[in-house]
Amino acid sequence: MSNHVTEWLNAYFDGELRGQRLHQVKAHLAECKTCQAELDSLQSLSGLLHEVPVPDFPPPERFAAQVNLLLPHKPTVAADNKLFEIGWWLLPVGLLASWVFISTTTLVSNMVSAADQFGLLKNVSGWIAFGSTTNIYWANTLGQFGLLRGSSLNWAEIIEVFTRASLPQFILYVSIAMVYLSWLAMWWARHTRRVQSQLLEG
Amino acid sequence: MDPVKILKRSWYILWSYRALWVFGLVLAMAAGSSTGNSNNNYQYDQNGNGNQQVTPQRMQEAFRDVQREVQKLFEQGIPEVNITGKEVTTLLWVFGAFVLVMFLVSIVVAIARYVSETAVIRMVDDYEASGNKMTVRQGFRLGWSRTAWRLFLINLIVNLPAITLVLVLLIAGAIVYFAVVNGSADFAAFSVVSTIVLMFIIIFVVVILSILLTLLRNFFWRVCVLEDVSVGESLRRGWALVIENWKNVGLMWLVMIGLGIVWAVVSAILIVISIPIVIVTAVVAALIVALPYLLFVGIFSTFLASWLPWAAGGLFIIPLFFTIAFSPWLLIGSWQSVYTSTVWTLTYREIKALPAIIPPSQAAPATGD
Repeated sequence: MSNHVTEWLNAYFDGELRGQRLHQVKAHLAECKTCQAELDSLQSLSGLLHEVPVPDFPPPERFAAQVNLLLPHKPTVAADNKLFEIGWWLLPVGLLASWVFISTTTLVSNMVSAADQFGLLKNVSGWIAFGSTTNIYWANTLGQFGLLRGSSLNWAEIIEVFTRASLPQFILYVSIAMVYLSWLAMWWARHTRRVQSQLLEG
Repeated sequence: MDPVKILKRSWYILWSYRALWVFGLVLAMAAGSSTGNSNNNYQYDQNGNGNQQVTPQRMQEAFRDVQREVQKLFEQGIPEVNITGKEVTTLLWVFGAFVLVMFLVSIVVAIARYVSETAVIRMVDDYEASGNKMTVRQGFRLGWSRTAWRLFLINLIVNLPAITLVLVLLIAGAIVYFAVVNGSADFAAFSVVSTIVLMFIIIFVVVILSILLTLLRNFFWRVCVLEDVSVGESLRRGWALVIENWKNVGLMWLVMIGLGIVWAVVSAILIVISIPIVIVTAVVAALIVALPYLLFVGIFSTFLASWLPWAAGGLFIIPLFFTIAFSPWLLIGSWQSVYTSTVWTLTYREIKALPAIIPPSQAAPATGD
């Protein structure tokens, strides 16, 4: 007999078939011994399963709680740690802002000096005391006492101007760069440690 | 996203994919020609006399003096070095031609820059996607496209704040000048002080804005190149991408700034170490440019006499000489350009891949630490 209804037998056994399909399966089962045998084996299997004692399943809430306990824990961030984290990320941003601030101050200062050199600020130069940092005191004093002369005096003047004008800015830039690099090194170390611990947990 | 993984991968690509270096050389050359700003621009009085002011009247006198001197120069020449007035005019024409040639060269370098930028992004992306390495010729074909032009437009938009800043500073300068020349002392003082404060705030804000826009540009460019979309769409998608992943992008940016500081130190050391190599390349450059130099001298000797053809020829040949002589240093710059571009291309790829590997409900913040 062709057109067996094997694929519908489970649904028929569970009482899920309706209408035309139900009639078709019933009519086929009445004539087909193979399908009837299949249905019998389904019934016996079902009976067998019913005889097995039902395990004591926990309620869904308890099951979810147990699974949660088995999952890896996400560390709870304390308020102090949170503050530390914010500070940790604000540090490089603050350093960059300082860098820009110093650069801008230098640029504006140079522009004002240039304007003063061109006589644009002749009426107001007293308001803004620029130029004082570039005056040469030590070299002149040493020159007046006769301790420095000629090229030595010139070198002393150049060194004094550099020390007064460029050196503080240079030191500031280097300091900012050093702090930034320290932050980067610490970040790298933290990152490496975290990746390694993840690998170990995995 | 793992920044360290991206940095290591970029490092590997830099050393294993040599075809990228060629495009990096172009990028380094373009960067060298466009960044002529120096940090150390302090002005100081060497003699310690303080403010030796130049009044507007003095400036007018100075202009008149310059005018007189120029007229004298064209009429009498420079007798001290045996240059006639006619030769001064010819030299001026030669200098004009040199400026024109340099202008044309800068246009060619600018085109090459954007083609190289496109090529490097596409080559790295293709290498990551398929594992195939391309030749320089294939890379050039990838770069030579409409996208290169779009990159130029994006760059122009990104630089708009800086251009605006220059205009604002010029206007502010003009206001201060007229206030000082025409106004009362009190008004002038007020104008100067308020302009300085305003200038400071504007420069500070524009510098911060430019830094952020430069960061965004990395994504605008990559969206434009790898998604092949218009300028407007690149800006829109790039912005959305960065906003959505601001923690990852910010982390990568902070790391790249730190690496930039490291690179500045390392490259300074490399430059010092490579001085002997530069001496050798300078000799090679001298041999290479010798023939074109003599050709230029021959051409200029038809309308210049004495030592002037040699000087004029030198003017034209010296950029080529420097390019060859300093090629080792250009190579160091090339590595930096390729590495930076590769890092941002890989970051873009990682960010684009994130939604595919993390369900939206579990999308975590930056995992950099």
